[in-house]
Amino acid sequence: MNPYFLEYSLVAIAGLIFGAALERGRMCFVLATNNMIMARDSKILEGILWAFGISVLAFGIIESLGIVPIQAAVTGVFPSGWYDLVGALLFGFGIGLCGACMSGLIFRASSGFTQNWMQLFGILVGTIFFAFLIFPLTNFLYWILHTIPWLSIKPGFSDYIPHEWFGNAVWGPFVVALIFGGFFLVLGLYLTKRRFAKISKERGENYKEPIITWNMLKFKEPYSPRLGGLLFAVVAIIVLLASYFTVHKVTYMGVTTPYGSFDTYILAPFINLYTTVGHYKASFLPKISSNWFQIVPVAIPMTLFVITTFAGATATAILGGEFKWRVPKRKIMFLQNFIGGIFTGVGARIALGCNIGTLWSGFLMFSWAGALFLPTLVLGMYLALKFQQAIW
Amino acid sequence: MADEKNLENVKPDEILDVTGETCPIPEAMAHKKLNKMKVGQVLEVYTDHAAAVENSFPAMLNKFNYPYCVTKTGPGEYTIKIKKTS
Repeated sequence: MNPYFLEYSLVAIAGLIFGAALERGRMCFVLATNNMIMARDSKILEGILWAFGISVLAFGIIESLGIVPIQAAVTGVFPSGWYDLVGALLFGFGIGLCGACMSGLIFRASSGFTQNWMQLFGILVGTIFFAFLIFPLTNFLYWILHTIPWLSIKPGFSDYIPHEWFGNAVWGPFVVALIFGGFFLVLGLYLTKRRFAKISKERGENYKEPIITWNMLKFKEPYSPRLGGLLFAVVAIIVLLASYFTVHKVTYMGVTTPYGSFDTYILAPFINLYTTVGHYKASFLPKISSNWFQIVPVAIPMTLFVITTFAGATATAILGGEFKWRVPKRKIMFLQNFIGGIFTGVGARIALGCNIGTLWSGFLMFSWAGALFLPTLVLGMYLALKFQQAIW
Repeated sequence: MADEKNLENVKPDEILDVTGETCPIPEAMAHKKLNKMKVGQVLEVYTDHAAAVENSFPAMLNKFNYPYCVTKTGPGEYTIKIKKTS
């Protein structure tokens, strides 16, 4: 079989599963955080912790057994540094304003929430703002790459924790996975146990939620977030193995680069003009040869992944009887989502990814990107929640 | 605490329409509205955000121990009646 066809087919199937897991499992980082802050409810967070825990452990095993050799795994490792902290803060505030993270956006937009389509439009505008040289002082990519290199870790081995801690030991990835993945999974299991105990006490009977039921499979009820988390992990493993054993180099999970790449299609005829004008305007700065769109290709498997994720989420929303075009009664929510989308897009580009590409994949890559992204992401979402509680 | 067959036929004192809006707006605005209402009054919320109905509202209302009932009024459309009890 043609390896290109095989890779794109597998990635497309993974996207469909990912979309279903998102929509049916209500897997949204903003929802998880808000529920924890407002009501101390951990149900959605448990699903996310399951996703992180199981996938990180699986990646550690895959790399330590040499199914995907360490030398291949590190080729996909992003750099990490100060920009993860700054980008995650802006990104967290943006997704908090929109009430949907980069993955939550997909399931809401696919269910017909028009305000989240406005968020997506804001993300595209934010990405353009970031990526072009139209406004020299606002081209964050320029600053990241050319003016503020301090506190940055280079990609590859220099940001690969198993190598940093254990040198070339083959068991290194497994031990690191056990530490990070084990932490996520144990915390997820603990929160589930604590939530069940609390509900059991309130109801005076032993309370448990099944991970999977026939009604979930028949789309009559939503997935348990833990099933959503399990499917997340399966998808990450499919994407890793499909990319390694077919055409492309090792690929980790990511959705923001394809979002930005859609811009390329829309603005392709103008790119050279804008770049030229930008270079002229930016003549007091050292020249760079290309903008972000000329560096990142569009026709990559992950673009297809995003398209099929939207398709999967829309399909399950229709099958579950939940698809409906929804227009907010208060039209100002369009503006809020557009502004939030701009923050989301700019933040994601500064951090070189979103809650999927930098946070989750940061841990999957065993780099520091995920750990750097997490604290300011939560801070950003918290500030956005408090801001909204104050103004609405 | 979704007991609340009794609530189904109760006439609401206040109405909050947050259709088309997603978390955290529906539950945050309901919370704000409940804070301004008197004990014993009933708030009716219109929402079409299933994730809020399944997760955010139950979590928040259980925290305050407010009785509530959820009625599905159409595809992806819900009415939540909440009684402020404290």
